[in-house]
Amino acid sequence: MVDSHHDLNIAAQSTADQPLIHEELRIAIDKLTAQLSPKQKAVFVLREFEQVTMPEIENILSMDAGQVKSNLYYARKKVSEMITRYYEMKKIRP
Amino acid sequence: MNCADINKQIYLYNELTEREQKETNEHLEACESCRRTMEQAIGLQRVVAVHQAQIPVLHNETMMTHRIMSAIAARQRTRSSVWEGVVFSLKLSPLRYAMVAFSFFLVSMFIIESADQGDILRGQKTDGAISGPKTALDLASFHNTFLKKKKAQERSSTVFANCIAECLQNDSGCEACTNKFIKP
Repeated sequence: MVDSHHDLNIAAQSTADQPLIHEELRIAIDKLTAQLSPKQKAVFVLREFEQVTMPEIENILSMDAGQVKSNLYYARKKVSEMITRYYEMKKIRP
Repeated sequence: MNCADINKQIYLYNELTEREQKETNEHLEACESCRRTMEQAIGLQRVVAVHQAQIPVLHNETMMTHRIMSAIAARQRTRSSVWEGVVFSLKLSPLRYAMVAFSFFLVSMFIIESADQGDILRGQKTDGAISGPKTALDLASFHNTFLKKKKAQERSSTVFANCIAECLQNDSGCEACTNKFIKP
């Protein structure tokens, strides 16, 4: 009875903390994307946050498919590594 | 394909063709380190999804609204047109309040005037008073004029009566009363 009550408390606490963690994460991502090069950031933001298709990104940024893919790859890799480091620092799981 | 190529394909997995995805999947089944990279890439996707779901929180919302409104006001103030200046000045609160007060004053004056005219009309119906706007009666001048007229009439009638009496006594007429008094 005590254990289940304790579990419930933990569950409630984690649910209550969720928006705070998400907000913190959002700020962290904004900071991480700021560290990308302008081209990488443009491609990353358009593709990931704005859901723009690859041909549209090529048109918007006047790049060919190879350049867009290359910038997207490096941006994703960099952000991914930084996020992994961020989670390790915070000791939370994605 | 070696791990370096697959590594690149992992981060561009959604942009790959079906054939390329199949090749990557086959490699992932066999390679432990690439699977870890794939997990990292999936973690990134999850984080991006969370980021997208988040509505940005406005810090100090009141100040931001104030800043925006001030910026708009400053921009409007820079407009050079006279008409725009007049319209903008009307939007300023002190002048607006003054205009509202003036409107109330005009309306109240109109109501008072209407009430006065209503009284006159009601007076006409009940008392049969003279129509038209009310005029102030100068009683003193009226009294003087009336008395002067009355005295003059009395004086002339006295003179006339004396003349008639004299003419009757003498059984004769005179120039003063011939036209007015007819002998019996």
